[in-house]
Amino acid sequence: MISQAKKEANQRNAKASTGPRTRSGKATSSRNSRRHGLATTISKDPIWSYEVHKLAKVFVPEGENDARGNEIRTLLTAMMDVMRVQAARNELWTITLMRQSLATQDDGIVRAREAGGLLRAHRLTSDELEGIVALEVLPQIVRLERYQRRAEAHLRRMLNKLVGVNG
Amino acid sequence: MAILARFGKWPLLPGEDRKAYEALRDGAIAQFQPRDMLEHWDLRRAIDLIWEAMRYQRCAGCLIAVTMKEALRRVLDALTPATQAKSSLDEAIEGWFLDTTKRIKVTQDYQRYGFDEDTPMAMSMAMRSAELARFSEIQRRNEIQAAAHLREILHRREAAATLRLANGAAEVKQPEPPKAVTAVSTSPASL
Repeated sequence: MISQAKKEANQRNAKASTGPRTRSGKATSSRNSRRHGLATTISKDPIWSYEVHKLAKVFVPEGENDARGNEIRTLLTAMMDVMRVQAARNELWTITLMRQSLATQDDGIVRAREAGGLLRAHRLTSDELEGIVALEVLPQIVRLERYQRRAEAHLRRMLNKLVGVNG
Repeated sequence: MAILARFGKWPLLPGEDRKAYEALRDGAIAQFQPRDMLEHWDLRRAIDLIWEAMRYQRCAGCLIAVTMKEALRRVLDALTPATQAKSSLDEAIEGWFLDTTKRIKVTQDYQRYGFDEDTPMAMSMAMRSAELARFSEIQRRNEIQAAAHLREILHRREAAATLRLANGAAEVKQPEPPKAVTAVSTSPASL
């Protein structure tokens, strides 16, 4: 147990903002969640909502009563939320791969973009390109993990509630 | 497979082997033959997680390979006397990757310092240790989650089979109702 003084000190320190302070910094950080859209709920995303709707047509039997049909749709929404994070991750890989591979086609001379300042120019196979790209996307992949964990935890709760299964 | 496809795009990146993914996917479908929504979901997640784990494993190997040249430079820089011309060091490094004879010569020249053919790889791994640890962690986590999804399929099937058995046993244990009394034949043969 921590002392009351320590607890108060912790609360005081936590109130000190560690976020951006300048106008441009705040403008930049306000756009962070829009890079991948994962901070918004899936129901507000028209593309993914439509995917859930298509999936529901497969799994929700016709004539299924509203309550049961809604339960299945809720479960499908949670599943597609997990897939949404996977799609964001793959998009990140794809964009970076394409950008790096364009950088290697200049003047017929294969060049590797310096990543971490430690890579040198030499001919690259697609596997090696993927290795270099992995280095570049790794910090962002790590940042996406919290969305993955959140989506999976939500799905587990839905499964436990609706099916009684430990997901 | 069509139902698995409904859960979203296959996680293939440009340049990845589509046939390898399809072999993994089709093999998993053939082995597990998913029956309902949850089984399709678990199988799709397991396949994608395994594929991503394989990607990170590949990336780790490639990262070591692309760092080898710089790793070799670092090692030889440390071992080469300052009086030696930089150009001969550059030549030795290029020779290492292009010509087996030159590689053997470089190894022999620096052998007295404990240098051998594995030294550049060891240095490459040391230079990339943080990233390699991260790749390894993500790969391991994916493999564990994939296994959990597959176990979930088997667990639910077992639970359903147990329930069916239990229901069947309960039906058997029900006492049979007494048969209604039927007219008894009065012919002399039946007595």
